[in-house]
Amino acid sequence: MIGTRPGGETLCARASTAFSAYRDGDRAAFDELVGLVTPLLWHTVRAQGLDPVAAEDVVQTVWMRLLHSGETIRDPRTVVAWLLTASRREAWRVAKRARDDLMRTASLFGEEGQELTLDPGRRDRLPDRPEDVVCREEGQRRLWQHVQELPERCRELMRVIAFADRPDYALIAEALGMPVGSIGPTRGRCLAKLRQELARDPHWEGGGP
Amino acid sequence: MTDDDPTLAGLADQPLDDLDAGTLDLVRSLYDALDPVPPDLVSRIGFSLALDEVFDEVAGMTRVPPDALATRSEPAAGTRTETLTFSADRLTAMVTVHRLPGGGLRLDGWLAPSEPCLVRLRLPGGADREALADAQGRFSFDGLPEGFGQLSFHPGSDAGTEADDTTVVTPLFQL
Repeated sequence: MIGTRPGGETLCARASTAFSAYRDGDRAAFDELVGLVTPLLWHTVRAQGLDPVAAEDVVQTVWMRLLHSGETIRDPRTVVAWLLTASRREAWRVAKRARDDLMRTASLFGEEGQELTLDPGRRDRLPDRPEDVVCREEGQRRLWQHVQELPERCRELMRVIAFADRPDYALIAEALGMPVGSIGPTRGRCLAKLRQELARDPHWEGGGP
Repeated sequence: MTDDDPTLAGLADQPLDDLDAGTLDLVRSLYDALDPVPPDLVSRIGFSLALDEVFDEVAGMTRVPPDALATRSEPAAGTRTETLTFSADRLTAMVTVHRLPGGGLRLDGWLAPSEPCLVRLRLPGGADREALADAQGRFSFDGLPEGFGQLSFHPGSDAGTEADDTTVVTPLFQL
């Protein structure tokens, strides 16, 4: 969603309002917050390479932590940043733990070295080859191909940003650990790269830069 | 992107425009099609948050990858075993879930450090179940339905008394 929503408020602004209302005693506002921000968290965690089941676990854990430690967040406007940071941290912990467990088991049972390279956090990653993607149209397949060719950090940024509103881009990029200026108010290098690649693709019908 | 493409740098420094907005809309549709948020995730989060208990810590949860255990024992047809670990500052728990041949699930858990501990299992649409960890920290629940569960650990408590300030809860997990 680009620009602001019909109500004139960005996702981060609405999340901040809901979180304030919850802290003022409105329990239903917390459910509203969950509905608003869960898509952003899902894509953040999946972009770390966790399989869908592990990703659900992480998203749930992060919401429970907010319910528990919400009062430590001084400024309600930072609630989305808090959630994004917590999600990335927990996803990283789970992926590392799963890798360690696999290494330990593999060494206990003397498996072949090649199996040690298997990354359990990534065993259910999205398909790498565009022809594996079940897309209704050629355009989506092309876009997928170009997105896949972006550096990993850019892919993560594009994926999460696509579910946010323009005025929130800079805040979200920062919460994802990207350098200042990665996106918003200027285009930034990740989106510029994608735009350039799409413009160079003769089969892409999206217009030039 | 470490290349020094001046065109790219110039493009990067411009403000976002409608073409960018259109591209990001397409990226959003792409991920909505390829990897949508599970439709019932929000309602499951709702259940796990509607916890009637005061808790002190949320345990981090890890699923031991099934392929890591596959070499040890190939489960017989029709049975499925899953191992989960929960880690909190106060305690660590390991839980295995077995599917029984006659139907139903059995959950076996082991808790460290081993101390008197009331363990409660919340099930969506069902009554809470309770068990006490024994002197070795072991606990179990029998005859569970397929679905989801959420554990809470109450160290220092037994069936009669409950100390809220040490309660550790887990996220809702698939049984």
